[in-house]
Amino acid sequence: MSKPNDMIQGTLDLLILRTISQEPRHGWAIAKRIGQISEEVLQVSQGSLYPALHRLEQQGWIESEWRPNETGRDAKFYSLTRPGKQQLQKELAQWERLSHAVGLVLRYS
Amino acid sequence: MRRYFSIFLLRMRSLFRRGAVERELEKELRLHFDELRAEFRSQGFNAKDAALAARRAMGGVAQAAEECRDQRRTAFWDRAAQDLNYSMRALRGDPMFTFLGIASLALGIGANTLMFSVVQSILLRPLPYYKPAQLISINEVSQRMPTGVVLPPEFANWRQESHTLSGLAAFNDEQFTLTGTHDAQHLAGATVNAGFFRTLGVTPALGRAFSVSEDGPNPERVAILSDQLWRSQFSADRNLVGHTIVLNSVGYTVVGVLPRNFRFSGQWQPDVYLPGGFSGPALWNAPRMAWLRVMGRLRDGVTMTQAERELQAINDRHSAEIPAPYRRGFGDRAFDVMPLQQRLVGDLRPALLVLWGAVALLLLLTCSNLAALQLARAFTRTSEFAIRLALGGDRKRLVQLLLTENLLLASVGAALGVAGAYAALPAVRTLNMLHLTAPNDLSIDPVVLLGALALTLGSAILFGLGPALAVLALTPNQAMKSGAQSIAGGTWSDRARTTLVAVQVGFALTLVLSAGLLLKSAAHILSNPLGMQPANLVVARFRVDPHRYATDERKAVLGQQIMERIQRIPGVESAALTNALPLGGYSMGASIVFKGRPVPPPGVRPGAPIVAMTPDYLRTLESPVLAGRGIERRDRHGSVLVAIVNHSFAQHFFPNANPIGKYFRWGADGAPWTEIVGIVADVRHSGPDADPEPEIFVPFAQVPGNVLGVAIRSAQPLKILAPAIRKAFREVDKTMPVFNIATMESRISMRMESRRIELIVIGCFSVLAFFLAVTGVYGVINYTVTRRTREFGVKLALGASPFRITTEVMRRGLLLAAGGLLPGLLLSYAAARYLRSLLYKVTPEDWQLYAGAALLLLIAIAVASLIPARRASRTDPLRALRWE
Repeated sequence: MSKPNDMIQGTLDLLILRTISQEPRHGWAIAKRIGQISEEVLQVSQGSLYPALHRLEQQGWIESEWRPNETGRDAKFYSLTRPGKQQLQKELAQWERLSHAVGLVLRYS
Repeated sequence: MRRYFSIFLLRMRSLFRRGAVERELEKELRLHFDELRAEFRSQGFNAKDAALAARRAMGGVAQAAEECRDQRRTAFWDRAAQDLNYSMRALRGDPMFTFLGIASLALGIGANTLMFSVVQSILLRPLPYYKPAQLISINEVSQRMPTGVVLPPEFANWRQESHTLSGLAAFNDEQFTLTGTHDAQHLAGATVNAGFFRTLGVTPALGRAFSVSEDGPNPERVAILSDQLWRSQFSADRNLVGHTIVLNSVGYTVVGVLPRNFRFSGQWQPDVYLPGGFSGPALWNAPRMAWLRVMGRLRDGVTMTQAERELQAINDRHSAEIPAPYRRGFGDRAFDVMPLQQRLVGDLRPALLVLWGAVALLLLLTCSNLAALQLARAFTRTSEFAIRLALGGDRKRLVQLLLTENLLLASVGAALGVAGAYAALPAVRTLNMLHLTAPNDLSIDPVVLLGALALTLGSAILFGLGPALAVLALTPNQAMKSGAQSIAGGTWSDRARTTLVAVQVGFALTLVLSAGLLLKSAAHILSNPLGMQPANLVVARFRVDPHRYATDERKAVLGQQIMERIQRIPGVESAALTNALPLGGYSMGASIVFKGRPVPPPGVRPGAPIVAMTPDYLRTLESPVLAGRGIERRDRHGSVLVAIVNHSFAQHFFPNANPIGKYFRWGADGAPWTEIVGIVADVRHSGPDADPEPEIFVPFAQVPGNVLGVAIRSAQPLKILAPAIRKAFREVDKTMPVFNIATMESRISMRMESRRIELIVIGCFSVLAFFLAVTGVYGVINYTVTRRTREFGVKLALGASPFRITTEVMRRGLLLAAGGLLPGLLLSYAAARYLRSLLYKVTPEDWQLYAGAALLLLIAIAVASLIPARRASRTDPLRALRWE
């Protein structure tokens, strides 16, 4: 599987995992949070967010729970599972290595 | 690990709680939409514009939802469920095909597995001994001694000089009376050599085997018991070894008890083993020579032929030692060596192999039938597939659908077949196939079951899928045209199908005829007058110790005592002692000479069995006296010697005269004359299927002989009578064993058992073959009709009468049947000749039966082809033509 959007998809997964690593969030909050932190550079559309969430859940990295949100409505909150936390560490390390490598190439070639 | 478990739970939830999962997805996306809309509102949009903008920002919600669903990975199962649903509808829509398919599979798998397992458990299962393939049976046969005989001195020579055999075992069967337990017991026993158990590779569970020193010319009084005897008579006492038991009034020390799983051969299971004195040197002057049966164990790497050659050489070296009388008596003997297993299975081998062949053939016919059914069905569906393809159906999806349908059919049939085989197993066990295996040894072999499953399921799926795949390989355009229809039915496959059906019909005729012959034989036998009334008749055997009752006087007193006790049992109407119980054969016979007729020389005098009895014997059996009188109390010792003869005797020796009042003499020349005083109906002493012989009945009072049986007429059930009979004998002499207490009816049915088994087996086969043949014809005709729908449509449109179409189709069915019936008749005749020995008053040339069997098949086939024929005659011309 070497589709061109693999990296992008992998990146989205990483962003989601990182975003919910501090506290459980629901889909809307995850999208908002990624937008705020990235100073609105990264806009996650629902069309890619929810399939990614469902995929991560089916892969066992995250788990979900229904509970009221800030406005009192029932929302599906996602949180990391224990294997998910390990997965996040692994992907973070991978990302560091990759961005470091890209940086090296950009700087010295 | 936990991760996979939670994944599994999620999948299960997605599969089985689909509604809830869907609702949650919708709620989740709805929330996102609402938040988005609220955001636009806060930016100053009015309610309507905010909703619109939110919807635009959201993008394709349905696509996103579908993509979320894809993440659940349940698509395969969803489709499978759909296919299953569709398959069930399709199978329900074609009930005839479904029924025939499932029935063929179930019968094919069930019946074949069962029969295969029976044959296999008898023929192939190794004997329960150490390395059974090394064991051989050694015998020496001659024309005069066709059953063969090996004498102890020969055995001794082999034992001492053979290098090809690592061990030799000899045994001789004996009967014993065990006393000192509650009732005296009649036991089957064997005398064996010291190496017997070691050669078979059996170690006693308790104690030890015999030593060579115990097995010398004067064997020690030691015994080894079977596990069964140890449990039933000695309550499994582990301290029994070293104690003494009494056999034939002599004490023997128990030295061992055999393991529970030890079996001897087939029906004959000795309970006690004694050393026979077969380990000593070769002595030709011993007063008593046992006739041995011998088994040997081949050394590693030695062939049976090498062993035989060596034994022959040993015999040749010692041939001069054999005394002349033995050599003359036995004639020229030749070695008869074979694997032990083969000896034990014996004559049944060819019969079982025939059975096995029949099973294999039936299995193949089942598969071919399934193939024909499936081909016909696949053909009818080619246009359906063509349309599906033309409408853009997914080829892979169509194959999956077909596979589902075939798997569904196959698994229902297979499940029924397997369940049927297991359900029938207890019944087959009670048949206890000719006592060849211990009943519990008979089980369904998993390998056989898997084989039958694989074969039938494989053919069902292969033939169901094959033609469809051929259609699917075409472009929709080709498929819509008639091209598809020629794929499913080429000339070659047509001819193959026709031939197969002919074979099926021929085979079915053979089996139906064989069953008919056996059934007719059984009917003849059952209608044979037995010469007695078996209901309410109980017989028992007992054994009189010749040492305790040596004189005629003592025997007479014993007889009186037994009769007194037996007659005192409540409910006994009459009772008698005899030396020949019905179905028990005879124990005495003599050559006879008639008074006033020329006396032939000793070698060629006629002979007859002699039944000695107490006066009430014939009354107890309810055998009618046809003329003259029966034996009465006045026929005492010292009065005129009298005899009653049976009807056969009268007919044979006095064809044109009245035998009553005539005299004859039996035994030695110069014996006193005996007067014939009555004629009695023929009692079938040797069984319902054995023709009565001329017999002579004499009173015990005048002809003292060895009593061995008692016949009792009583309406009491056996459950009450048996203990009473045992008690009566115990009171007379507690060392006298009484055994084989049974109702006459049960003895007759036991006598009929092997016939019953043959009838059941052939009957089952013939029903199966009949079914296969009829469905085979149905399958082919049905297929033909489907293929020619258009033709029939045209004919009907042009004015052909439906009746003409019906007869045309049926004619084809009957022609097909006739093609199989003609060779089938020849095959049947061959089979009938093969079965000749099992027939009773039925000849293989019983043409009425042939006509009947053929007619039965023809009628069934006519009915089977009537169904598609009617369908053909009802073809709607318009619909048929629209197919173009």
